Amino acid sequence: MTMRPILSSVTLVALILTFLFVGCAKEEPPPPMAEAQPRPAAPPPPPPAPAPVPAPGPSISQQAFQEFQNQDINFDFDKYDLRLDARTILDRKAAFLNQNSSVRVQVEGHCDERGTNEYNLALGERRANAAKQYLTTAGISAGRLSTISYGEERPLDPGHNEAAWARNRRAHFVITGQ
Amino acid sequence: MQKLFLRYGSVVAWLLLGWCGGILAQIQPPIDIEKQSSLELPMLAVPQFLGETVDPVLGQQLRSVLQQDMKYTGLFRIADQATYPEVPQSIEQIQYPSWAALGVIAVITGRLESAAGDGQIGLKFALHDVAQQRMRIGNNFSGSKIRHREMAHRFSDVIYRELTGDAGPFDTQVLCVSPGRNKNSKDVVIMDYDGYGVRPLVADGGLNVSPVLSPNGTLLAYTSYRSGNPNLYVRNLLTGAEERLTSGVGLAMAGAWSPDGRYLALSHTIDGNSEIFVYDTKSKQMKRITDDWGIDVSPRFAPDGKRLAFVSDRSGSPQIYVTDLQGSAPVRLTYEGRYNTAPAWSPRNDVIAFVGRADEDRSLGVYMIRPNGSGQTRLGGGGSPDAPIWAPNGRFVMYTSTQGGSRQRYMMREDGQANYLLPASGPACLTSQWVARTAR
Repeated sequence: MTMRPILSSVTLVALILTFLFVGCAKEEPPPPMAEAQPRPAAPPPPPPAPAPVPAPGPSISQQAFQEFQNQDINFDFDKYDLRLDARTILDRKAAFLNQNSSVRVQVEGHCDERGTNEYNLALGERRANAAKQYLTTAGISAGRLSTISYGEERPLDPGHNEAAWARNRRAHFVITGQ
Repeated sequence: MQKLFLRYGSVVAWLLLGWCGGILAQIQPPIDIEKQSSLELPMLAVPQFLGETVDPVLGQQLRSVLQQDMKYTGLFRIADQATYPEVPQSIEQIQYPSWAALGVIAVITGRLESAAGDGQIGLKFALHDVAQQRMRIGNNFSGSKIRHREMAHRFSDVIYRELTGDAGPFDTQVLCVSPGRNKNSKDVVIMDYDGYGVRPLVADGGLNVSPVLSPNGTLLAYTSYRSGNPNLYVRNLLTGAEERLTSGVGLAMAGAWSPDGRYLALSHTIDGNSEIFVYDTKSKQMKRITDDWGIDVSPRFAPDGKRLAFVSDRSGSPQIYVTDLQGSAPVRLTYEGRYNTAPAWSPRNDVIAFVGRADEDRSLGVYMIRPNGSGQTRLGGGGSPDAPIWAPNGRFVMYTSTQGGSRQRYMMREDGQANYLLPASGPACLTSQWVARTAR
């Protein structure tokens, strides 16, 4: 596993701001990644087990891995467009995927139990695709991202109320390889 | 939505009056339609059968099946057994004045013959018209005791046809998607319409959805995640042979078989969005029906096999459309509300049922609309109803809903009346298709 230079924090902030202003539907190619510059005076990160991640320390990388998989993005009822809060989370996921360039991900699309099963399977697929498209626009190679819809078949919250439904309308990100 | 219901509600009431009028000509006394709530329905009784003491459990089950079926017709209340004036001593003759005094207008009598040991039974049933003081119709059944529920359902269908002129809905089955043995698995099962006799068709520990059976009951089309992607399979239930119809990384779902069983309408996602296709089982060719940027799903054939109803969100919200198979531009049917999905085309062709959402309070319900787009009306179904399906006789609609706290099955008449919770003898299932009884 090659060690990928870490983007400087300034460049990272600039990138995030660019994405926030331009949005996920932009046509122009994403801004080129800043040329790698070794972080001055930083100790070389020890290779943490089990994941060979070029992060500064094992606790941070594990946290980043967990956050990547634990943090879903949510959608409004019957919608597959990305809310602002979803894009913020996706930006963090894009950053993680840029830092860990061998990681492969399956994006799952989910719906709440209302509405009809068949339409929800198709809607879940659109949600997964919307998230994937945002990430590829952010520079993540499409070959690293697969999608699958579970419709309303795998709710996160089995409740029959607004709070449960809001949690279930989500895209979920599973690391499938690295 | 409310205005439409009020406007067409009176039409429905007059239709109901006419329909019940047909029945009333046959069973007296006339019913005052104004009192047509379930509390005021005429009463039907199923007293103890002759020979029932030889096998009381069997007798009770048979009478229970008949009572349930008669209740679901929406034509009767079942009289309380404690009030029955007699246990009839003959099939052909009952004490009509005693039943009339009770207010019962119809009585089902029966005789049970069950030779011990060989598992065979013989059944005789008869329907009596109390006001006319005569037996209206009778029927015999014999066979394995295991099929006793089926025999009772068949007599219920005989009664239904006698009273309405239509084929009955009771000797039927439904396809269901039920929780499987693993936490994330779903099985395809078939069972009697009332929930008994559950038989698994696909139970591999994986996720299986969207099943639909061909008209002759031989081919099951369904979606399985076993390859890691939701692909469409067709299984021959007689031979066990299975064919995978789709590949790739998109969602594929079976929609409906054509009435002649030759074509399968389905949806498949290629190029990022779901489109409608029709698969010709003879030529093995896929014909593309839709081509737009939106979600196109849930195709359902019209009874004439020449048109498809389906769901599309090409307008910005999911709506019901109708198209032919020749490539004509799809015509939008639904213009009320911003969520109209899960169409089900009545086998009688006159109406399409679907799930709609009221704009006022965003509540979901089962609606109907005519195939020309007129007459959108709410039929019923509180909670979160899903996938209305038509009985093969086109007179009843079954759907599932969470209004009781968990997903349960309901059945109602095509006019929205007689909406009853169906018993559940097994785990909650999502019903996808209501069919005539398949291979026994």
